[in-house]
Amino acid sequence: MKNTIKKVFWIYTILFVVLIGYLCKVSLADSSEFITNSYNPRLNRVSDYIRRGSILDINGQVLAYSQKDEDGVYHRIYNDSNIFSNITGYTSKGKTGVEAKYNFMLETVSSELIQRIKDAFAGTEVSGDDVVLTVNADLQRYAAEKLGTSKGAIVAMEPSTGKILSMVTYPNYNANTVNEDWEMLNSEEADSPLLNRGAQGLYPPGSTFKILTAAAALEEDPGYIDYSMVCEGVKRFDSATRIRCYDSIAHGNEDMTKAFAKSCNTYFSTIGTMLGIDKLNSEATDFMFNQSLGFDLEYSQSSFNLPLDSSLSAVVETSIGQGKTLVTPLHMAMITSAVANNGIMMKPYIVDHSQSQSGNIKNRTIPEKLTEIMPADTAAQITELMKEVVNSGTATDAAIYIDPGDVVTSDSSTSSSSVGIITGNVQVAGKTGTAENASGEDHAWFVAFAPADNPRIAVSVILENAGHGDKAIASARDIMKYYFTHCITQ
Amino acid sequence: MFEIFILLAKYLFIIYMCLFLLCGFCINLSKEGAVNAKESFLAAVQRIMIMLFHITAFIILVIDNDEQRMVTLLFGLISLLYVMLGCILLEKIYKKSSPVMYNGVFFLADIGLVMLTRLDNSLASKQFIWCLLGFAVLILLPPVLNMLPRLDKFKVVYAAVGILLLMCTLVFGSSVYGSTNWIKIGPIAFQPSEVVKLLFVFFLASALSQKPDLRQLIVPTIVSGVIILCLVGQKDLGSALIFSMTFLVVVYIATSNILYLIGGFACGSLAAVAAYFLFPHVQTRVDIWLDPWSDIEGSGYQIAQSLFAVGSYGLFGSGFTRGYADYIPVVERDFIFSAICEEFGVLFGIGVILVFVMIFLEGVRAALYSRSRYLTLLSAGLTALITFQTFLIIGGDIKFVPLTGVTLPFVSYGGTSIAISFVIVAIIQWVYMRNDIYKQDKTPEEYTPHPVEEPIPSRRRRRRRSME
Repeated sequence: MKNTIKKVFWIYTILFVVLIGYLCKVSLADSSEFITNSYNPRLNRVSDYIRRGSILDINGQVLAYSQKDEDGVYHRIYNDSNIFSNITGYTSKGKTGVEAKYNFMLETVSSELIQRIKDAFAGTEVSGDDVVLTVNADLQRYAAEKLGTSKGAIVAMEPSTGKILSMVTYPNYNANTVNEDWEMLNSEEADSPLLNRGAQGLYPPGSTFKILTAAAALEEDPGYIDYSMVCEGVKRFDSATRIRCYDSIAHGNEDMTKAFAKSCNTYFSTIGTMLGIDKLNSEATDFMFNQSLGFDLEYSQSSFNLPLDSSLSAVVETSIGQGKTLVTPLHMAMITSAVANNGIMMKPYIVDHSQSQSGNIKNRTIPEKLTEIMPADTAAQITELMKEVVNSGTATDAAIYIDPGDVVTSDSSTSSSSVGIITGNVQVAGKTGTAENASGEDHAWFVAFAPADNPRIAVSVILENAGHGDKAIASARDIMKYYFTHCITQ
Repeated sequence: MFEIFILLAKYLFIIYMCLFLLCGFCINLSKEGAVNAKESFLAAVQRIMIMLFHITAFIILVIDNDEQRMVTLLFGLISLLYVMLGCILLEKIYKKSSPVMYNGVFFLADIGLVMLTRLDNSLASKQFIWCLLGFAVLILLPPVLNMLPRLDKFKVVYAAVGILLLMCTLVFGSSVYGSTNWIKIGPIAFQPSEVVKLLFVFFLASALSQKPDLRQLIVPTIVSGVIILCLVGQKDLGSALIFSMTFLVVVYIATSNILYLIGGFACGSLAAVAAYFLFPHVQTRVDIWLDPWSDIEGSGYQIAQSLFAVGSYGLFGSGFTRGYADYIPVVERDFIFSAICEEFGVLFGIGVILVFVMIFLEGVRAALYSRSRYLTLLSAGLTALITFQTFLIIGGDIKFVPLTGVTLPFVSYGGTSIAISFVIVAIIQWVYMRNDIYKQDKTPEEYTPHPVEEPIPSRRRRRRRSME
């Protein structure tokens, strides 16, 4: 009997040890995943006693900061807010964006106890940690200028890390005046300026989807690259299914390289029917459709829907990006980056680190692989296809030449000795797209990365109702060029 | 400056807790004969920690509460008096009792009072009345129990009254938080299942006080089955689980046969699986447990809010009164642990769990060295019951097990729960006091060599007495 009691004692003790272990796991390991949920009321916590940390760009430019007014109450001030508000978010009507997701860092005072006792006696202001973004403010301003007043979004990222270099959207809003503008911002005519189209806007991918169809084919058999057929501008699959190339132009005899460069619909819809529903579905899953992308800010999941009993016309339309598929500009930038990065898709991130007022760097984000969307061999083949789009296909306008004199070097480093600086002809790899739109003009897509052999930047541009993609191509080209001349200085 | 004090208090609370536990740990070591420490001194240090905790917390509460500052101050002083007098008087009156257990109980009760004052002054004062009653129980129950020597002869009464109470609840009960487990008579509302807890353990202990064989287990099993089914019928799943677990533990201790435990667990698991498919509300509970996030606006709201509370501010917490505990529905009852973790920090929360473990340990001691099978089963059953209840609600709060709305003993708001928890402690202490092995004046070596498997032979016990 006594021994039995001892056994029961040990069983209970183990139960409690496991319970304590689980409590530690929840609060220390798992909590980072769920505490930024928008239902957590603590995200709205603002202490009256400490100055909220600032939001800075990667080079330390201040995007948002807090200042005390005459009454001793802190106010949040945003610089160039229309350009950065989709990233910083606002603090006046609840919180959004970085303000919400990184509230804990912004409200955390480093080395609090000792520092704060000192500060209390010295009467100095106590300040939360600053949050430093991966975004380059100059590139962001330039991209916003390029987007102008066209509805749409531009996302630029670093393919090897997943850093968001820039994300602009239009229409936009001013975070300084959200309270005053609230009614207008939510009105019908305003066209959802509060929506961050870069991460939340869902668009049909149009021909940019051919990247996926081509990858699916080349993964199955790299020999598909030589598969040839004759394009007559129109192809009839069965009585209900007919597909036309853009303006019904007949591309004639073509292999995959030419068909991709010319964005031939008949070629890729034929490939799609040859691959079948299963293969397209598994490729879409590999490409992270219908899945969480792990991005910090609010984003939408791209959707791909091709059930096993789909009609032939659904397969044909889906394989050239005209079916029910919807994708965000962010996801398109990630796919393009993955092609540039040997098929490895990195987890996108927008906050590089936080830093205390004394400059101690904390919480540095470590680039993280999200998934491998295709083998490196396939990624190399797709890169070749995308180069041809710029060299001889639908996006010859995207070619970049950089005069060494255009390169703006910052501070003391001399341009000649800096290995990273990119000059001369820069090989761009890209893909155009025109997304048919039930209501109104088509949307224009362009996704690209450069330099093709050593990618530093990937860009995804969507312009709503812009018809064919000339402006999208030019914007992407200029942004990449600006990045090489103004932002890469070592 | 007040903010700085709150910040400083964050660390003070954890220091108090650590010292309290350290003293408890040393007392346990000395009881096991590992070190030689003076129990009364360590227990006094523990009481100082409770006092410091209380004072620090109430300084914050008084400054923070602009509207009812004087009321809070007054309440703080009265409750300080209660807690201090409570554990000191009990130790003085009952010299053979376990002071660690009293200290643990009063510390937990005080944490509960402090937390309730922070949430809602009026809840705290109601709770305080119940705590006073609990104190009276601790003082008065042991002599009363001494006067009733044949408590093991009334198993039929225990079973009948218990089942009757539960049946009444099924018929006349009113529904609170989804379970039909309250009876309202005029202005008084109470939870019969709490009272039945006591009756149930008394019943099991008396029914199994002779070493039972398989046949003699049939009747207790049927009675327990009926009681548990009544609880399931009231949708009071937490109590049903606690009763089942207590039944298994008591039967296992009474028979020393591991097969009963394993078989019981197997049957219990089967029953749980069956319940999952039979009852939609069981299914909902399990689904919320598996994924509270998918229906965060609806059924998953509570547990999600609880997890936010536990996870947001880490080891040291948000600072007392600086949390968002009010956002958790029923925080004063089911989720008081989450609120403690948020404002006092997860480290303090772990400390609270360890205080429960400390009380549990004393309960095990009471059972281990008690004189009769009946008393062993009684104290072991009550200890197992209250400990499993603690595990169930804390585990539910942090999504370790599915949430069942049971109270955290001594801490959660709730009259019946507080009263019964104190009664349980009073009984365990009574058993503890009757085990005269532990005495202040004995050296540790003297307690260890007593026989483990058999009860102490009466002749030897008599000789031991005569030696004193």
